[in-house]
Amino acid sequence: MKTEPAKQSSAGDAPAGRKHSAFASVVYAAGMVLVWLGERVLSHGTAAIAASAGGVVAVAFALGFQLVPRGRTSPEVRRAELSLAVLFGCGVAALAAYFATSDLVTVLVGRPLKRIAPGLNEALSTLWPALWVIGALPVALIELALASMRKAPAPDRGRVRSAQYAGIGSALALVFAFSFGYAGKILDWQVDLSYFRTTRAGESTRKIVRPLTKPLAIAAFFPPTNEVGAEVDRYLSTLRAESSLLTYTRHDAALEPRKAKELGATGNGVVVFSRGERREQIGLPLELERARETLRTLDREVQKRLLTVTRPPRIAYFTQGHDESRFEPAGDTDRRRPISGLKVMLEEQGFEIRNLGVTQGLGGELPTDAELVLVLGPRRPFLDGEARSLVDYVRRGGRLVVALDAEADLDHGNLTEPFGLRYKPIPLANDVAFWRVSSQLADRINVPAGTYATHPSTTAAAKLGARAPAVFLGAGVLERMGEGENVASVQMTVQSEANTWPDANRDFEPNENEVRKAYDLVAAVTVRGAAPGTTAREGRVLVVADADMFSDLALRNMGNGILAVDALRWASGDDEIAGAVDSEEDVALTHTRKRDTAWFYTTIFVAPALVIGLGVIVTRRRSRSRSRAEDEAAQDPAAHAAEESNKQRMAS
Amino acid sequence: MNNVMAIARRDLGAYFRTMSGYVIFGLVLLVDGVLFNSLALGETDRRSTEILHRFFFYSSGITMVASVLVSMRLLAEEKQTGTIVLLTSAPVHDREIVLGKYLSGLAFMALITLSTVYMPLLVLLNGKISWGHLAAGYLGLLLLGGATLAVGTLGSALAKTQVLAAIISGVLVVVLLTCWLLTRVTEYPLNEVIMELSLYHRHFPSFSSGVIGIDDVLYYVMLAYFALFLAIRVLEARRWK
Repeated sequence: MKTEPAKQSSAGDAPAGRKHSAFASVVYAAGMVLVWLGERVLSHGTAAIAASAGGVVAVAFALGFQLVPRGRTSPEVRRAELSLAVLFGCGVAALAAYFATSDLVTVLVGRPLKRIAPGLNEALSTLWPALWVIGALPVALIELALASMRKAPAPDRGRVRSAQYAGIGSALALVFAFSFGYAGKILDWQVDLSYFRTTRAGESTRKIVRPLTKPLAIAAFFPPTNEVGAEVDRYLSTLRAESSLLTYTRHDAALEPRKAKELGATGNGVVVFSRGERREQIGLPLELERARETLRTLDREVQKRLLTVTRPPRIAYFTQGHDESRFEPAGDTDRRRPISGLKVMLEEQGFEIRNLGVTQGLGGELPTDAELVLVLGPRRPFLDGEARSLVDYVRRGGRLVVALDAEADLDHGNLTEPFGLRYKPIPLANDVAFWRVSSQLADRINVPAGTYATHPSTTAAAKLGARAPAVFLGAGVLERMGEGENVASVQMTVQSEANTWPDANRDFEPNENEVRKAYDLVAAVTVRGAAPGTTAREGRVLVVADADMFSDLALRNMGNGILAVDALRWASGDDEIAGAVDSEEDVALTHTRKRDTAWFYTTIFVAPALVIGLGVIVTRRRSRSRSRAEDEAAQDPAAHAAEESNKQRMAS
Repeated sequence: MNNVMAIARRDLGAYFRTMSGYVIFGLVLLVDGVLFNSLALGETDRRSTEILHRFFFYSSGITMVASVLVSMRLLAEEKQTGTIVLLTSAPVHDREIVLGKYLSGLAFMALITLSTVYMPLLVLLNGKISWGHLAAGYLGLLLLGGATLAVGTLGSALAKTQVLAAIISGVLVVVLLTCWLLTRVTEYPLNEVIMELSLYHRHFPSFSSGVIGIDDVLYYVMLAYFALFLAIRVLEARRWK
C-alpha cells in the first residue's frame, strides 16, 4: 500500500533562495527624507530641486526594486515584499498628490492647482499626509517583524500580516484622530463659563422703585433677537414687578427711529430712564462679549440713573482749610491716601460735590442747600466757631460725617464731645488679624472690623460679616462720653476684633499696659433739633475712628465699599434704600494674617495628613487581619483550608 | 466590558492596599497646597479669577507629573515581576488589559485631582468664585491628566521596567509639551499642525480661564485614544516581534 508523503508546512521547507533585505525600505526612507529636505529645509534653489528630485527617484527605485522579482526566493518573502511594494505605492501616490498641490504645477502649467481646480487642490492637500502615513508606518513595522525572523528559514506569513495590519490600523487611527481634531477646530464651538451672570435687581434698587409716587418710564433700544437685549430684559422685568408706576418697554431703534429720537437715543444699545423732562441713559455694546463688563455691574448703573431721575439734585460739602484728605494727591511728596473713590460713590448716589470753607459759611451759617457735610481726616484743629457752626447745622436737621485721623494726633474734642463721644488719637493694632498691605510690622494697624451692630448704617456689611470685613488703616480710639447736647441716641455700630489693643508707644507690639479688647470704630448719633430754626427732621452724625477707611486703597476691599455705601446712605437719610447692590464683578481677595494662617495650615498640613493617616489605618487593619488569618491557619490547618475553599467557591 | 472593569477594579484596589498609593496622594496634595499658598494666593490682593487661573496653571504641572508616575507601573510592573505572562495568557483581549489598566489609573488620578477642590473653594470664604470657571478648570485638569496617563500607558507598554517606562513616558510628554517651539522654525501649514499637537500651550490655557472649547476637548480625547490604541498594538506586537 502506497502512502503519500506528508505535506510539510511552509515554515518547515528547506530555505529557498535569497532572504529578505531591508535595502529597499532604507532607500524608500532615505528618498522621503531627501524630499523633505528639498521641500521644507532647503526650499528653493538648485540644491532644493536636486534633493527633491533625488528623493522622488529613490522612492520610485525602491518601489521598482520591490516589484521586480530578483532571483529565487520563498513565497513568504515574496508576499512580504509585495506588501511592502503596495505600501511604497501609497508613498508614491502621496508624493504625487503633494507635488500636484505644490509650485511644480505652476512651473509646468503656468497656474497653481488651487486656481485650476480648487476642490481637487483641497482634497489632495488633505489626502497626501494620510497616504504618506499609511505608506510609512506599516513599512516600519513589517521590517521590524521581518528582522525578528531573520534567522528563520522563512518568515511566518501570519506575523508579517499582523505587523502590517498593526501598522495600517495605527496609521488610520492617526488619520482619524487628526480628522476629528481638525473638525473640532473648524467647528470652533466654545462656551465661556467664567462669565459672571448679569446682575439681578438688588435689594437697594428695589427699595428705590417700590415707594415711587410718580410714573417712571424705562425704554430699552435693542434689535429683536439681541442677546444683550435679552439680558437687559430679564433684569428690568424683575424691577418692573416692584411698582405699577414703573413702565418698561422694548424697542428697535432701526424700526422706531421717531421713538428713539424722542427719548434721545442715538441708536440701539441704549436704555433710557425718563420722568418728565429728566432723562438718564445707559449705553451697552450690542455684542455679548463686549457687554459683559457693563452687565456685571448693571444693578449699580441702573441704581445711579434711578437716583438721578427720581430725586432732586443734592449737594455734599467737604470741609476745607484743616489739611483734610484730598481727592487727588497734592504732589509727588503728598503721601496721604486720596479719596477719589468716595467722591465717585457720592456722585453715584446723586450728590454734587462742593467745598466748604470759611467763605462758604464754615464758622458762620452753613449753606442751606447742604444735604450732607463731610469732615475727612483733618490734621489741623477746627476753631471753636467752626465746630459750633457744624453742631448747629446738625441740630437744624443736618447730616454730618466726621472721619478722624490718629496720625494727626488731635482729639478734635469740639467736634466729638457735643455728640457724646470722645476720640483719642492712639492707633489701634492687632497682631493676629490685620490686613497685609506692605508686609511690614506696621501692617498691624490695619485692623479689620469684628462685629457690626444691627443698625441701618450697617445693613449690608453685617450680612457679609467676617466673610468681607471692612478694614481700618490706623483707627484711633472712639468712646462714648456721657450725654451730648440734645443727643437722642448714640449707637456704636462697628467694633474691632476682640484682641485689638491701642498702640500708645507706636511700636506695633503689644505691651503690658495696652489693653486687648474689642474697640469701637464707628458711632451713629441722632440729634434732636434744639437750635433756632429747628425742623422736624432729626440730625444725624456718623463719627468714624479712621478717615482712611474711605481712602481709595481701603475701598478696594469689598467690605469697605459696602460699609461706606450703607453708612453714607444712613448719614444722608437714604437708609430707606440701604441694602446690597447686586454686582457680579470679581473682587480682590484681601489678605489678613489670621486668614492666611488658616489657609496655610489647612492646605499644607491638614489635608495631606488626613490622607496619610487614612492610609496608615487601612494598611494596618489589612496587615492585622492577614496575620490573624495566618495564626488561624497555623492552629487549625484543616478548618482554615475548608473556610478558604468556601470563600473561593462563593467568590466564583 | 466585564473583563475591563474586573481588571480596573483589581488594579484600583491595589493602589489602596499599600501605603504607596496614599503617599502619592498625600504628596500631590502637599505640593499643590504649597504652590497654591505661595504662588496662586500670593501676598498681594488678587481677584478670584486670577487666583483660579494660577491654581490651574500650577495644578496642571503636578497632574502631568503624577500621571507619568501613576502610569509607569501599569504594564511595566507586570513585565518586571513576570506576571505579564499570567495576564496575557488569561482569556482576556489585549485591549481589555490595556483599557482596564488605564481606567484604574484614570480613576486614581481623577480622585487625586478632584480632592484638591478644597483649595480654590477656600476663596469662597472671603470672595467670589465662578462655579463655571471652577468646573471648566477641573475638566481641563481631568482631560490633561487622562491624556498624559494614556501617553504614560504607551510608555509603560514599551518598557520592560518601571524606571524605563517613566523615562519613556517623560520624554514623550516633554516632546508634546515643547513641540510648539518648532513653530518658530517651520512654515505654514506644518507650524499650524505642530502647534495643534502641543499638549499644554495651545489647549489648556482656555480651561484655566473658564472657557471650554470643543477643539481642546477633542484634542485630549483623541490623544488619549491614539496613545491607548498604540499601547494595545505594542502589547499585541509580542506575537509578531
